[in-house]
This record gives sequence, structure tokens and C-alpha cells, in this order.
Amino acid sequence: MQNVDNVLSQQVDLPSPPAIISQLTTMMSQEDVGSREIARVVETDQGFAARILKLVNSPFYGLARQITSVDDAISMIGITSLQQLLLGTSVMSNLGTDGSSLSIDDFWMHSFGVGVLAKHLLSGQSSDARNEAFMCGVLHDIGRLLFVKMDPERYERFYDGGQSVTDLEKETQWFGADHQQIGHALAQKWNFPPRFATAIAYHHLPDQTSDSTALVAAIHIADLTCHALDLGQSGNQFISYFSPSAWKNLELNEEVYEKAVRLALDEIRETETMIRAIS
Amino acid sequence: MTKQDASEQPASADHLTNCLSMVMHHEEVHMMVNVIERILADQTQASEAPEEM
Repeated sequence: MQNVDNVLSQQVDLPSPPAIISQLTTMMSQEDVGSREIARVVETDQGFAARILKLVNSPFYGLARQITSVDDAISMIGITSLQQLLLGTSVMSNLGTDGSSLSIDDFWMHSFGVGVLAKHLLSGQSSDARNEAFMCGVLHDIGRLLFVKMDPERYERFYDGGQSVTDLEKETQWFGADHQQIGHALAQKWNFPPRFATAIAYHHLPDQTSDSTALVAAIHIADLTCHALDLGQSGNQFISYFSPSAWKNLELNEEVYEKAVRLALDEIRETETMIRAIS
Repeated sequence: MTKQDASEQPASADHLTNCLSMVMHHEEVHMMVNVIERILADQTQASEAPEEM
């Protein structure tokens, strides 16, 4: 990790997490957190509170009356949806892609797609495990956003050159570290749960970790699938590594995989409306 | 134009082939391709349906 430290110290200042995200991620790791406690945190940030109210009053929910309190809004969409959407959108808005041709909308669509599919690939697991997979999918490529922040022109030259999204050695040659390592460093600085940091650090090389294997496998397969489906984009969509053990770990076959992908695409279509309402 | 509406726009079979060409020696990837090709075919059929009416 010496290279990562050098890159981070010499080339980019990792952004600090918004206070509200730190609080929400801490609360996520606790049991029995109610909507009122969440609402109290959300209300400390007017921007977040406004997003939530905009979301529940959007056509997606089609409510007859206007919702004006955050507490009511959270009751309406559920705590899990709230946490997931706020974390995802806040990471994207804080890291941004100014100065680069990378479209944040496309990047977001890829990340969101990976999250939704990873959740469906773990359909046999607990709702907590599935929600965790969604969050990790949304966040798996945050290292790429840091590359853009470090040097937008270098990022564009690298990916315009037809590089594989899974060629981590070449990334290291260009940037001093690969996007998994940089993303992992950010996850640690932002105090993401350790399993999140592991999924970010190994989503292209799931065989190299013995931690959170099903979670990392789900992100790996979901990521490749979204690239193959051309769903959004996260750099050049060209795959040079696949882990058969990830497929086996998830106990996938053609039928199970197809069901997960179709359900995920249906959910993505429905939820796009929600994302646009709060972005 | 971004691909934000990607879920409504079928990807191309060419993209699928190019994207996975280096990992096609895995039998699991063949299964993935079979599934994605079926989905792309369904999406194409759905996008063409209004024109047939």
C-alpha cells in the first residue's frame, strides 16, 4: 500500500466525508434505528432534507397530499431506501467529474446498475446482506472518480486509449495505484463499514480475499454484467478478467442468473424516476 | 448525449461480443452471453413493437 500512500500524498487530497454521511453510515451499523432518529440527522442538513421532500412529493409516489416533514417522508420511502439513495447521490456529488468528459450521469447509472443487480444476485440471503450489496455496488468504482479528480486529462487519455476496465497493472503504471486501491483508501477515510471497503478493494479480483466472499463475488459478476449490457459507463467497457469462482460462490446457473438480471433491469427502469427526482 | 436512459435502450450485440471477447473461454461467460442475448432480443422486440401496430 506504499504506492497508494505516495499517490494520495503527492497527487490528490482525499475529500472529507460530509458530516451527515458519517452519521448515517454509523447509524447503519447499529440495530433498531428508527425513522425519527434518522429524520433528526437528515434535518441537520437542509440540502438533504430538501432532496427527501422533493423525492416523496415527486410523481413517482403520486401522493394526493403534500408531505412537508422529513419524518413523514422517511416513513413513506423507508429507512433503507433513504440511506441508500442519500449515500449514493452524496458520494457522486462530492466527488463530481468537473473538467472531464466522463459523464456523471453515465457513471451513476453504471454504479446504480451494479448495486441493483448485486442485490438480486444475493436473493437467497438476508435483506441486510442484499441492502449491503446494493450500497457496495453503488460505491464500487469511487476510485475512478478520484482519478478524475487527480488529473482529468490523464484519465481521458488513459481510457480513450481503449484500455480494459480490469487491467489494474496498466492503471498502476499510469496513476501510481489502481482504482480499487484508491477507492479502498477513500472508504477507510470515510469510515465505511469494513465489508464495504473490502468489496471496493477486490471487486475485480474476488479470488484474492477470503473476507465477505459472497458480497465481493456479487459485485464482481454484477459489474461485468453491467459492462456487457452497456448500462451507463465507467471508463472503457472492455473486460479482460473473469472469476469463475465468484460465479460458483453465488451458486449461479443460467436460469438463476437470467432471473436476477431481468429483475434488476425492471427495478432500474422503475427507480430511474426516483433518482432523477432527487438529483 | 449521455446513456442515462440506457435501461430503455437496447445495447448492441457487437458491444457484447467486444466487451467479453477476452473472457469467452470461460463456460460461465457463455451462459452470461446467452442470457444477455435473450434480453437484448426482447428489448429490441419491445422497442420495435409500436412501429408494427
